[in-house]
Amino acid sequence: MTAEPAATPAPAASEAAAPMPAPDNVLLTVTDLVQRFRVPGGVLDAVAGVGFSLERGRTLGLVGESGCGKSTLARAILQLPGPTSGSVVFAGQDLTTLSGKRLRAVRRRIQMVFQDPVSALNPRRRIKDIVAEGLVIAGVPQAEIGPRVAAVLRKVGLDPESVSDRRPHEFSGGQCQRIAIARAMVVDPDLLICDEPVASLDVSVQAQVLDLLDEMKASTGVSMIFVAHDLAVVRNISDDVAVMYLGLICEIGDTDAVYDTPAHPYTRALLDAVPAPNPQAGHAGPALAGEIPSPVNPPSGCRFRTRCPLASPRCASEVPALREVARGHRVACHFPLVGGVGGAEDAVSGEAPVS
Amino acid sequence: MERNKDAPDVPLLDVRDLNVHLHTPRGVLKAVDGVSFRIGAGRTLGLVGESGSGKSMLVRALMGISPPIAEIAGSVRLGGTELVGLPRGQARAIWGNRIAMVFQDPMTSLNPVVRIERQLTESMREHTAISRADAKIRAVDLLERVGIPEPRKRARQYPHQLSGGMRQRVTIAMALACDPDLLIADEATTALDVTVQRQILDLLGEIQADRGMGMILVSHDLGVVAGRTDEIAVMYAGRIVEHAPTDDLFAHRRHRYTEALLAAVPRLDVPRSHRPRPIPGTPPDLVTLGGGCAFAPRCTAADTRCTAEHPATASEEGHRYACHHPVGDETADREPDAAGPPDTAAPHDSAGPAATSTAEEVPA
Repeated sequence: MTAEPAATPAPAASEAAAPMPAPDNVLLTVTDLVQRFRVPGGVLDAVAGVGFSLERGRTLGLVGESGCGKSTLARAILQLPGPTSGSVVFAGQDLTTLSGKRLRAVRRRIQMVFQDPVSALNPRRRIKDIVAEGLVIAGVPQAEIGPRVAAVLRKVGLDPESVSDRRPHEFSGGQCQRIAIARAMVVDPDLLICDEPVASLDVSVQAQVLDLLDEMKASTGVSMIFVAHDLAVVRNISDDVAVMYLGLICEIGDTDAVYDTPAHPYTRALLDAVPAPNPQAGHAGPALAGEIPSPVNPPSGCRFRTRCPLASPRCASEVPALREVARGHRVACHFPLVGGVGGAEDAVSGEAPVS
Repeated sequence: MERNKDAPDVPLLDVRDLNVHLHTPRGVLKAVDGVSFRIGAGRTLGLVGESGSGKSMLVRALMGISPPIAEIAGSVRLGGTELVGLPRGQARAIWGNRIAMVFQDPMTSLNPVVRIERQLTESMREHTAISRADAKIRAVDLLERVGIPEPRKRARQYPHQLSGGMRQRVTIAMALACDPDLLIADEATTALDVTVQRQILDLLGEIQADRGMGMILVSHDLGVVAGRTDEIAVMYAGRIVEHAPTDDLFAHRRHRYTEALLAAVPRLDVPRSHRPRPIPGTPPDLVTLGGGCAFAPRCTAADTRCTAEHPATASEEGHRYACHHPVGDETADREPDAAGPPDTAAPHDSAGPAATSTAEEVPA
């Protein structure tokens, strides 16, 4: 649903498929976003042409291994820094064309929660000042700030009476993450970008924070982009999920569809690699060999082909476009694994499905 | 307890009533409090717990790298040699030689300004009479064994020239350099991507099978230990609260903490409607820990007895646990909470009805 027919770029440049005219409930449309960095060995496209759109009140999970560009993409949306090319249309405004005051005004409506809650909070400031900062910058009248800070602290499960005057070091990692979420939510954002928000927390606390994010979504209708490497966590929080590999989206669609009937061999391999908390389960498929190649010199054609068990000569010569294999479920693969339950009949692929 | 009754042969590692007490400005912190277990050669023990449960302090004590403020009491015997209180000189011959360890962050064990080759030969030269030239040959062999492509070239490189997965392979090679009897992997795959994690865990399993080493796999992730261990010890607040053969632990978990921990794990194999269930509250402060069961304040089954009286360790056919109200005993000794049983059963649907039904057979 969320996935727009995004551009699947040749490594060289932008060969965009323009997104549909945005319906009213679309909050964010990213089109053909490229983030290029100069590095000693040449240039590196950390994000090499990505497009998707996000409806209001939905959560998009972004998953992939380290170095796949998921965090860079999340930051590029916030213009931290802005992308090298492509557009980020948020509530009707292209953020890449804004600067200074106008950008700051829009960006207030997009907030971020980071991986390490302890380093994300200024250790020398009191909790109430940390949480109030966004309101102060937004010019909210002083009289309103106190009650709004107290309300949001209560909402994240902290007692404003006892925490307001304390400093971050007095709290555990999970509590600090609650404070970071309070700081993000106090300005009533439309979009919350969470970059690995539970990766540094214990499993018992992870579930608390995931529950909290879900409550926030239910009570405020905030949309979320949830970046994580943990596929099980993403499954639990996302309505839609995009799997990234080496700067590109290789599969995107409804979460249950992607997890139950993955169409991209990379998605399959990622899911197979997750150890199940069940001694009988074992791993479903063979282990993926090798490591993610260097983005400075990515493989020709399909970027995953060097590790793909199904790669054929065509994969080396032709970049696979993102195309629909089922309603709202897109994959960039010449030989999608559409044999799973409910996926096959919708395949638009010209090839014989390979299983 | 049962530790005295059967000892037909000497186990590889025999830990008895081990205490690691840290003298902090706030008072004595019982990081490890009366822990006993054994590992046989060729066996793998999974050590599971949250941060602060004492699992790292425990394995550091086994490895002789406890912080200076730690006071260690009890007994740790490796193949019959007592390690606690062993003079430093003799201990050096064991640590790094017969017991080796792999850490979470490979850069903590690698020297950034020393070539890979020398990092590998160092412990061989320290512990054995191997010549410099032979040690170099062995270093390349080890790199090859742990799946590093172009081992000769890599041996001449520095750690920063390798990826995270490759660095972890190097630290495994370092740990294997002296053919240890016991390998301890402390969250060795936690910092790695899931695909690389699987490669490293496969590698550790192969090497262990090859050499018949004992292994301790320390992890906060029940998924990591589920398919890779023979038995699992669950730690909470410095103690082992449940210890059982792996299959048995997952099928018939008895301790309420193990139950809660499993329910909190996000699952890939269940639809989104089945949310992981958080454990309320936070782990206790180990300085001010009182009597009673340390998990009682967070436990849904706790009553006044739990807060007052420390649960003794019960033992059923190799399955040990310390809980006043073990899972599966609801019908036997107390009224179930109104919300209790259905709630508890729900997240484990995929573990199978077998798990629940067999758990209930135990008291019968």
